[in-house]
Amino acid sequence: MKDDLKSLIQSLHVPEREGEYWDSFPDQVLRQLRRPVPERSPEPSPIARFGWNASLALSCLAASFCLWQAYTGPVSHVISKQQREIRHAVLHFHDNIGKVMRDEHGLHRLVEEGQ
Amino acid sequence: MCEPDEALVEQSQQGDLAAFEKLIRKHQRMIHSLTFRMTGSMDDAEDLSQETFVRAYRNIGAYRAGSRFSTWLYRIAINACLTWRDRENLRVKANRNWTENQAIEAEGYSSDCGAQLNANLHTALLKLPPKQRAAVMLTMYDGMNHAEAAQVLNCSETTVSWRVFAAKRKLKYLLSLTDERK
Repeated sequence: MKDDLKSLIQSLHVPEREGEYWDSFPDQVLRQLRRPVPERSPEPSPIARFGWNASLALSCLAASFCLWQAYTGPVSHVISKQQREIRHAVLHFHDNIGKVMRDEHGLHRLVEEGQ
Repeated sequence: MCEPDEALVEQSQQGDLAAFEKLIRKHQRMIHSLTFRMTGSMDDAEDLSQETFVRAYRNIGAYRAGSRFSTWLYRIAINACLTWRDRENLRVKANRNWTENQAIEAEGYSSDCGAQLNANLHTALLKLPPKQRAAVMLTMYDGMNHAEAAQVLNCSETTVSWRVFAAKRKLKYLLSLTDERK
């Protein structure tokens, strides 16, 4: 039986439909064809899609940079300003004993004449 | 008198639905038989046959006279069957119904063990991967050679040969299992 698998498959019975079915089948297909096809917006080209994705990624990067700047910018600016002031005070009073103090009003120099 | 496919296709390409209707009448049984053998379900075969002709009409502009219209139509039908995924779970049910129906039929004609054999074979065929099933159907049932089947399945002849070989091996195994159960 195994050797004549081909003839076995060829003898496979396909249930037969009645003549009425075959008469109406083309009409069913034509009815579907006459039905309006829903409009689909055309797919964007790969280049356009890449452009969109790239610009979106760049926008995200720019937004992240701005946010980072907004949070870290003023702090670093204040620190560097204070460093500059300290360096200036130390240089200016190198012969004297200088103290630099910071309170709620800002940076102050307490100067004592050198002995 | 039966008009040749090429003339009907040409008219259909110009939007003549009456010509396309004639094409449907000529090929409907062949497509229905193929979709049934691929799915094992009459309802799905009906849906897929309709889908095949709808797709064929909507893409008829892409048909080139170089190949036979029936081959082109076969390709559309096979693709429709291979993308038949959503209803794949129904396949199991259809398979079971088919077997049961055939068993009842076989009981009715107790002298006819062909019906049972037929049911076993169909059950085994439905257990094959769809692409292997398609290769078997085209080469062994429809009598296509491997080159023609490759054209329909859009793959190489070697792939068709391999699929047929693998399918035969699996079918023999599955049928031997049903033999052992008896």
